[in-house]
Amino acid sequence: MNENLSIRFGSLELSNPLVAVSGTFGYGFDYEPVIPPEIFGAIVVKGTSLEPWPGNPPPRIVETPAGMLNAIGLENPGVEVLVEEYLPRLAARDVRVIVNVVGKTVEEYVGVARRLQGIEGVDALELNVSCPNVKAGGMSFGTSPAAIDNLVGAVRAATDAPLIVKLTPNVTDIAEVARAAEEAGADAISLINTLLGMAIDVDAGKPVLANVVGGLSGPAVRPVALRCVYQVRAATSLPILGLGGVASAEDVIAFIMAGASAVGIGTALFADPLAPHRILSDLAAYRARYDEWPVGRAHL
Amino acid sequence: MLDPSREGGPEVFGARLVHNAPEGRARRLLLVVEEDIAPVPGQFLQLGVGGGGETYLRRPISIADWDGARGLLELLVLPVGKGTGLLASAQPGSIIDCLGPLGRGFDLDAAGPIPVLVGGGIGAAPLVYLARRLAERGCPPLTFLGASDHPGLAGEKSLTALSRGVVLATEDGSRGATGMITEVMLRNPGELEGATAIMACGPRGMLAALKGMARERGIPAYGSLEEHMACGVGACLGCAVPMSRPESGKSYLRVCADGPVFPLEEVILA
Ligand SMILES: Cc1cc2nc3c(=O)[nH]c(=O)nc-3n(C[C@H](O)[C@H](O)[C@H](O)COP(=O)(O)OP(=O)(O)OC[C@H]3O[C@@H](n4cnc5c(N)ncnc54)[C@H](O)[C@@H]3O)c2cc1C
Ligand SMILES: Cc1cc2nc3c(=O)[nH]c(=O)nc-3n(C[C@H](O)[C@H](O)[C@H](O)COP(=O)(O)O)c2cc1C
Ligand code: FES
Repeated sequence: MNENLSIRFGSLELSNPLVAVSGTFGYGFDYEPVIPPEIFGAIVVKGTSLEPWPGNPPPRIVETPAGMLNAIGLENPGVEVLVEEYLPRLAARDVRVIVNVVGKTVEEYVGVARRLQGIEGVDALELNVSCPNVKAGGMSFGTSPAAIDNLVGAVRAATDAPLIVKLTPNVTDIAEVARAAEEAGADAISLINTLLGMAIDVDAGKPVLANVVGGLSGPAVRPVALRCVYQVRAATSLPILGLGGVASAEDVIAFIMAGASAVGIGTALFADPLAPHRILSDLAAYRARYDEWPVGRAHL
Repeated sequence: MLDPSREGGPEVFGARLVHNAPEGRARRLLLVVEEDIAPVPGQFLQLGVGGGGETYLRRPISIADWDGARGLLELLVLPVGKGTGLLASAQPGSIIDCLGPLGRGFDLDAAGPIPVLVGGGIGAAPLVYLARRLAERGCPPLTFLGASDHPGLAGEKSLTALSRGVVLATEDGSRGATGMITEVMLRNPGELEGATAIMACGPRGMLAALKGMARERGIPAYGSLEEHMACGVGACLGCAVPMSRPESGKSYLRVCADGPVFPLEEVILA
């Protein structure tokens, strides 16, 4: 799009820093013609598992102050449908595609990575490590450096694609988890996934979400996301895809200054489908202020 | 079913409110739209309601009526919470932020010569435009409208003008027959004689009763469903409704993009 907005994110050259994040932009086509996928520097498709996952029963979402909770349950048709149906359609478009990978066991993640190995139009994999690890009593992979090490190491061995590890903020020390991912061979870090939360319907006297708990996203999480990006930038030298509550060009610049070299937008698309257009045009004005993108500048 | 949407897909547009008046407990909003949005009956809009962080997401509201020649859009809004409260109190002259038209509407070709429309409360909203389009095709519907009480009835005047006949019912008997609209239909089976399809919008209990009635008569029934929505375009999978017959690992449909109008046999309404 705008040549002067291009930015390097690890080994990927992006036309601009803005990325549509996983689970909020489907497989790239649902928002057409309001948001064509090409306007993003990259899109991350919905979390993809080895076999189809049905997802959680409704209600799956609830609005909360400046955001929402979701418990979609990673509904997706499985990697085979992604490869047969969606990736060819995306390959026909001028857009970088990152596949978000989910699994209940290390073997399932590895299976998805193997199936995607060498497939045209897959620019990178993003491991969603927020999934419950069934063999470890359902605790999320992303909460333990040892589990991250094991998972990232196994997937690393199964793919040549750039490997992004998407961290959960629901941990005590996110820098420690990021270092574990780096040591296990990750090429980049993305963060944050949603914050665990809940809502209660006081008239019914029960949780609103059928799943009881859900992930918080939207502007409400932005300060937490920014803090996480800042801490991970200080702890590792990996490129960072920063996201969480981004809704304006100013937010994009803040994430870049915290240390991100690509910045995701998700929930804000729901509130304002024209946000990406506005952000990109406003970003051009910001970009003109600097010789180069001010990645990590807030650390100086 | 109809093709998901018109050619070109949804748009973001501003609609100028020119009229806001009560219709029972609901408000009837008339808006001027510059774009030729050419909606299908049953499609809806995702409206930005302002209100900042307390109403962050858009609100799904049905297209109640559309006059393409004059670019006039009608909405019927029942204020039940923060967002619909803001919409209901919007002043003429204000611009409403719209995304749409969205979703799959009613299949006019499936209506047959004697369509029966059934509306429960504010669920009557999309039936007005549906009745208009059916009447234009020479198949004005027979319409059943129900609500808890008289102020809960919506769209009565327009639907009376557009239908071959209208049957009203309120649970408290303050207007029309006494009882739920589906009970009234069951008490007078002759009314449904010759009906070729049922097209409805209202509470799930009402839709479930209609599904049973249509099955007994061997006619198709279509219903417009509600579910909480985030994107409204099919991207987030937030608005799931369980499928009657799950297939190859898929158990849910999206109300916003696969619906909101479904053949009732395809979804579980419990
Ligand atoms: C396809 C569709 C068409 C609709 N058409 C109309 C219409 O023409 N006229 C009308 O008055 N209402 C209609 N509704 C219902 C309307 O969307 C809700 O009443 C409204 O979203 C409530 O928002 P609130 O802020 O006033 O209530 P709150 O309870 O404060 O809302 C909190 C959150 O819950 C969501 N929510 C609450 N109730 C519903 C509901 N019934 N359906 C979906 N989301 C809900 C809101 O969108 C919001 O995100 C329709 C719903 C759908 C799905
Ligand atoms: C409806 C919904 C679905 C999501 N699905 C996924 C998913 O499949 N995989 C994933 O890694 N993150 C998923 N996320 C998390 C987002 O990618 C993102 O990390 C989070 O929403 C914070 O960004 P935001 O505030 O810009 O939305 C989902 C979020 C939402 C709101
Ligand atoms: S509301 Fe997002 S898929 Fe229906």
